[in-house]
Formats: sequence, C-alpha cells, structure tokens
Amino acid sequence: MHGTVKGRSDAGEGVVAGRPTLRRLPSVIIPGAAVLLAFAAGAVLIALAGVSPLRAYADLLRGAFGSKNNIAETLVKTTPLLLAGLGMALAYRGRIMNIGAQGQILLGAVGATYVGLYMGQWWPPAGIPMAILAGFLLGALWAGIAGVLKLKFGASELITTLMLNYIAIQLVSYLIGGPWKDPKSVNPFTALITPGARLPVLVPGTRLHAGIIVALLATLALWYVFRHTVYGFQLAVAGANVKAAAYSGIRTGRLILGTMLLSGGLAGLAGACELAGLHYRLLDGISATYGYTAIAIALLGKGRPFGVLAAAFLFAALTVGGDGMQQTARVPVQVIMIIEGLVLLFLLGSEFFQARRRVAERKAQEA
Amino acid sequence: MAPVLQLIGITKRFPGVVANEGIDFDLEQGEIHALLGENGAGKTTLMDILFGLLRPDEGEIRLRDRACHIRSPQDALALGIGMVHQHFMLVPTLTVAENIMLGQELTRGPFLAPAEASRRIARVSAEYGIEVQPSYQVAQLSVGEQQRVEILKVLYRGAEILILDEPTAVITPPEAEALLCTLASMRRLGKSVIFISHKLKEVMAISDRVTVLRRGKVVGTVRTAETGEHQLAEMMVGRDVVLTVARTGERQAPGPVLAELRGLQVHGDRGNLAVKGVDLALRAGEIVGMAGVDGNGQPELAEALAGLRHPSAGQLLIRSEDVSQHDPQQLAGCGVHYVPADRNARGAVPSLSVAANAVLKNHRTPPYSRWGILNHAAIHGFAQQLVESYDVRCPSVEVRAGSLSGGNLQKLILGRETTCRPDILIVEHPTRGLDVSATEYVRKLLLSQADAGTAVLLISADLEELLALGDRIVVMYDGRLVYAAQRDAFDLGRLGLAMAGLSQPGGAGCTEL
Repeated sequence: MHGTVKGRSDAGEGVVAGRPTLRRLPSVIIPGAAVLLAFAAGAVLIALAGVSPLRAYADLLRGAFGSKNNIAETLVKTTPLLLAGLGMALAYRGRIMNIGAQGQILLGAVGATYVGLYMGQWWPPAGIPMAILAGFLLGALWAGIAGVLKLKFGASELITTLMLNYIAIQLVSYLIGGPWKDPKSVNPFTALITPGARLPVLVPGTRLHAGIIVALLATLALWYVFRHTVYGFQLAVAGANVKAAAYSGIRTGRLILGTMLLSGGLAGLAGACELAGLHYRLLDGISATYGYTAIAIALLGKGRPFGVLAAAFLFAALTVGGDGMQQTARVPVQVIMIIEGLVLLFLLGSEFFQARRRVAERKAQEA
Repeated sequence: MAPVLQLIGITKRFPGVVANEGIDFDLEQGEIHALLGENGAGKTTLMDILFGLLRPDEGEIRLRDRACHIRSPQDALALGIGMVHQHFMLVPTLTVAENIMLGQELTRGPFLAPAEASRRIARVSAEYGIEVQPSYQVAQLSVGEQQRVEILKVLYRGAEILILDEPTAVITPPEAEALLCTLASMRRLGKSVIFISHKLKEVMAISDRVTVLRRGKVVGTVRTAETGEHQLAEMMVGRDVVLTVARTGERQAPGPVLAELRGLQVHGDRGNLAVKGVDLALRAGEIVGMAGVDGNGQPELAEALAGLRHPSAGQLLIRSEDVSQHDPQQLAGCGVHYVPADRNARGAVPSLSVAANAVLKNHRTPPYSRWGILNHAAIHGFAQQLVESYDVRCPSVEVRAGSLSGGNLQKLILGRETTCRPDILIVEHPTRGLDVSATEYVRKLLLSQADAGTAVLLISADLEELLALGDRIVVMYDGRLVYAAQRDAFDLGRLGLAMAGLSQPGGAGCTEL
C-alpha cells in the first residue's frame, strides 16, 4: 500500500538517520567554539594593552591552577556558581525564567546563618545538615513566592524573581544592621556561626570546604532527575511544548511550582555553602554577582548538569586566574570580564545561526 | 477591455500534494470576484502566489496584459496588489495612524509628520466609508476594527487590487455587513477585489463572479447573477467523490451509548461562546463524522471532550457519569483518547525523541515508571513495538519526533492513542496534510477501531473522508449542530448548504440564521 510514495519517504528518512550524531555534536562544539573565539578576541585586547597575549594567558592558567592553593581557590569559586547554575538550569529546562538566583542565594545564606547562630547548639552533630537544609528551604521559599504569583495571578516570573532580588538585598542589610548584628563589632555583620554548623575544610591550609562535595552531589542528582525520573520527563515535555504537556495530562501548575521551589532551593544551597563553608557570618555582598553569573552558566552549559559543571568551572577558573594575571602580567582584570561577556555573546550568536540553519533546512525539505 | 489581472495555468506542488493545478483566473477592473472552496481546496495557496509569498511551479501572472514576476509582498505592493490576511499583521502598541503609515512614513525633514498622515488617513477612510479613529491604540480595537485598519493600510498604499482572505471568518455579523458595504464602495471607486470565502450567502450578496476551486483545480467560474446557492454548494462539494477506503455495507448496529453531550456550551480562547449548546451521543462501534468549516466551534468541542476546556454549561456524560469537570488525566482514565489537529503543537513534542512521544501519556504508569523513576528499557520496548505495529518509518526510536514526516508522526500519535483500545476516540483532521498512502492507513485504522467497539468522533473538513468513514454525519455551524443524517440518508446539497450556514428547515437541531 505504500507504492509510489515509498521512495520519497525513504529518502527523507535517510537524511534524518544521520541526525543523532549531528545533533549531539553542537552541544559540545558550539560552546567550545564560543569560548575559543572569546579568548581570541581577548588576545587582541591584551595585545592592545601592550602585553603578549601568550604570556598573559599563561599567567591566567597559572593563576587558576598553578599551585595547590590556586586550584583550591578555583574550586571554592566553582561551588556557588555550580549550585546556583544548576538551579537556573532546572528552571530553564521547563522554560521557566527564574533570574532570581541572586536573592535566592542570599536567602539561603540567611537560613544557614539562623541555624548557625541560634539552632546550632541544640544538637551539634545535626548542625551542618540543618544549616544546609535551612538554606535550601529559604531559597525554595523565595522562588516559591514568584511561583505562586505566576500561578495565581499570571505574574511574569521574569519580573517577580528579579524584584525579589532587591527585597532580599534589603532584608540582609536589615538583619545585619539590626536584629542579627554582631554585638561585639561596629561593622554591619552578624557574629560568627557556631563551629558545629561550619562545613569542614577539605585540604588543610586552603579554603576549600565541603561545599564542593554538596555541589557535585547536586550535579549528579540533577542529572539523574533529568534522565531517569517522571518529573524530569514531564519538565522536558512542558518546557518543549506546554500545550502538549496539558494535552498529555501533565498537571502543569504543580509542575511549575515544584520546579520553582527546587530551582530556588538549589540557589539557596549555594548561599548556605558560601556562608557555612567560607564566611561563617552573614555580611553584605555575600552573594557577590554569583546569581547573575549563574544564569550565564546555565546557558553556557546548555541546561545540562554536566555542562553547567564545566561552565561553572570555566568561569571560576577565569575569575581566579584573572586575579593572577592582573598581578603578574599587569593586564587589567576587566579583560577577564570582557572575555566572560564575549563567551556569552558568541554563544547567543551561534544560537542565531543554528536557528537560521534549521529554518533553511526546513525550507529545503518543503521545497 | 482586458482584465486587470490574469492567472494562467498556475500550478504549485508541495511534497505529496498538488495544491494548485493549472488554475486559470481573471479579474476585471471594478469587479468583486469571489474565490470559493472548502478548506484545502487551494484558495490560500493561489493567493499567496499572487501576493509573492509563494512561487508557482508553472504558470504566468499577467497584470494589465503584461507578464510580471512577483517575488515578494514588496513586489506585489509595488504593482498595486494588497492583501488582508486572516491573521492581522498590526503592531498592537502603536496607534492606528502609526500602523497605517508604518513602512511609508510621511516625513518633514528628519521628523515624522503625524498630522499630515492623519489627514491623509481621514481622507481615505471617508472615501471608502471605513470608520477608524486614527489616534487609538490598535490593542484597544476589536477584531473587526483591526480588520478595517488592515484594509485601510492596503488602500493607503495605493493598492488597485485587494485580496481579502476569509475576511468575515473572524468578525461579528454587523461588522461583516459593514465590510460588505466597504467592498461595494471600493467597487464603485474602480478597485478590483478578490474575496475568499466559503460562506455562500455573502458570496451571493456581494460578488460579481464566483470561481469555485476543489482539490486544487478550478471547477468553474460563473456570474453570480446567473447562479444560486444550491449550484455553488454542489460545485464546492462535488459529486465525483472517490472512495478508496470506505465503510462496507454490512456493519453491526451501533452498541450502547458511551459518551453523551447534553446542551454542552464551551467558551473559546477569546472569551466568546464557541460551542452554543450541542447534544450528541457517541455509541460503541459507531463513527460519527462531524463536518463543518474551520472555526465553527469544533476544536473547542473536541477540547472539552478531552478535558482541556471545561464546559460553561451543559453536561458531558461518560457511561452516565458526569465528567464535565475532569482534567485530561482523569478523562484518559475514563477511556477517552484524543488525536488533536495540530500534530506539532499539541499531539507531539517534536524536539523530543520518538520514544518520549510514544509514552507521552502513559509514562506515569508501570511498567514505564515506578515510584517516579522511569524504566527506559520498557519505554524503548514499547516505542519499538508501537513503531513496528503502526508502520512508523523512522531510523530509530531515539531520533527526534520532529524529524518524522507528517504521515509517520500521525501514525505514531494514532498508535499511541489507540494501542490501549480506547472506549472513546476523538480525532481531529486526522489526514490533513498527509500523502495518499498515509491517509489510507489512517482511515483503515479508524475503521478497525470502530469495528473493535470504540466510539469514534471524527472531526474533519474533508467531506470525502466523512462520507467514506462516517456512520452518521453531523454538521457544525456557528457552535451548533445544524444537520444530522445517517450514512445512507444524506443529501450532499443540503450538507453543503448547512456547512455554509444556510441550513433549511427539517434538519436535526436546525437553527434559523
């Protein structure tokens, strides 16, 4: 019964058969090419500043990986970027625009601080798990506000999560200047948290703390969730096509809210680890710009857990190495920020060309 | 005098279908020429060719007796051809005046000259009797008002030939009446209009000539004054229906009622009442064919049956239980399965694998998942089996569903929805855009479903399909069932008239228009 059309449809499938490999390649090649291009463009800038780019990049590498301490610092920076990046990648998979990692990190730090200041004495062995859990819960709560607003009133999470960032910043300022202020200091920060709630240092003599283990476990967990759970499947369906999700009986409201909570929780973990592993006290600017960099990292990692791991590691190495490069090669650290920006620009640019190629392919098929 | 516009032997092929085949068409100066035909007859393709959106494979376009090549809408506009699409292309945040002058801004030095533009707009609108408020924001306008802006935009740019693609499909009856007046004044001022429609009444009321298309070919061109609605309906529907797959003569009497709609009312996306009280029973082993022109409430009805919309009044009963407020998951549990019209936007997720699409609905249940954890081996096995038993041609079940041809994707969806032996199957336009062999496959599958005792509701705009498969035919028009007949008892002419909104007394559930 397939008589005349058989030849045509077979030819069509022949084209398609090569696709799995073709489709898998860009997920590594394109971000890789974006990074290389950004470094090439950065080399021009460095040369313009009168420094040999080769030397500068050698210093960059040395700064990031040159010694035990430098490697440790790179991993310390990787931790919050990775955790918050995973949170953003999770939301991104469901095409939920959570850009509030900054605030969620702060709330995570607030949660860990509370445990460290007021609850750590209850039962010392539980100090660390409780601090981490509190960070997760408060981060989840913060993102959950935006989730509820979206479901109840259709408020764009893009706006609400961003606005909640500012509220979180002010909340932290209020806490460290008022109720939680360290009575022994004039500075606006809290007292040190109880030692029982602090994450252990992994390599003596460095600042590398157990937060990196939390982050790596979260990466594995998220990979498992994406690949092997019904929730991960439903999130992928809803992210790709929300109409199809509703049609197939997926309860999208619950899915969106749950995803918001988990996404914020992961960012909250980043804050908790920064606090309990590095600073031991709540202070202004504890989330640095991790919350915004995390969005870039999720994009660069194409929303895949191990991609996010690679991207977080790259950005951490750039930041740490950039400091080294500034000190030894006298290249301003701004060049590093420019390179980070260029990585994203090239990446987004490649999306444009990929989309154009897909359109061209479709047209070729139809014609 | 030579016609303003001539299309000679226009042919356009798409993979698997010939959308236009050797079409001849001409338009006189100051004439309203209606282009009539069912969905998929090739009207829109022909107009897209004329407007430069598509290129013909063969044929010639002559404008005032000179051959011309129209490669883009810009070319068409430059030649004085303007088109008003069904979906308006306006910028909602700009004002009416800004939208009209967009692309042809009047300037004084480096600055815009809005006052001058408004004056010109006012002049054009007075000339044609088109009422608009140039200072209003487009977002505040009703659909009918937006359409007037679109028409004005085309006139403002000096179009001599206007193409209106089903202009009355989206607007209210009083707005439609005003539109017809506007068309009359255009004719008076010497403009030529091509009016695409499948509403016979309007075509009879306004046009000078009618060309009827059916399956990509011209059935005939007649002077409106010399024809009637009956003749047009017959030309549109055709009598030369080729039945390749059909219900055979001996068929068992339909079984018990499985689903029943009682006075069902459903609202559409724009808050309009799309289904205005439908009574219908679906019986085991019976295929009910629902005919009707697109946009008369069929999608909303189907979505209500699948739980994607909740009825605002009336009841949906399944085996006498009221399930009006069930969600899609619960309705699937009641044995209702639904094959939506839009394969890519709803029926499947093109960016995910064939395997993922195979378990789109049953991934929650064992063996495909347990305690929230997917069983990839079981999913893969199920997909493999589905692909084999429904003849879905794909290199592996791991390829993207979007890489499948339309026919193969449809087989995958149908396979997914029927492999569990549903009690009630709702299929919407199951063969739209499919090639001959896939169409045949899908139709056979629907017949075998009914033979196995499923109650099938087949919603289609393809009369041939409905006549071939339906045990009972109902026609939906403007949210109501306006005609119903058993398979051996229907009258093609009346069916065509009912689809065009001209039901006559005597039909089941008839409404006066």
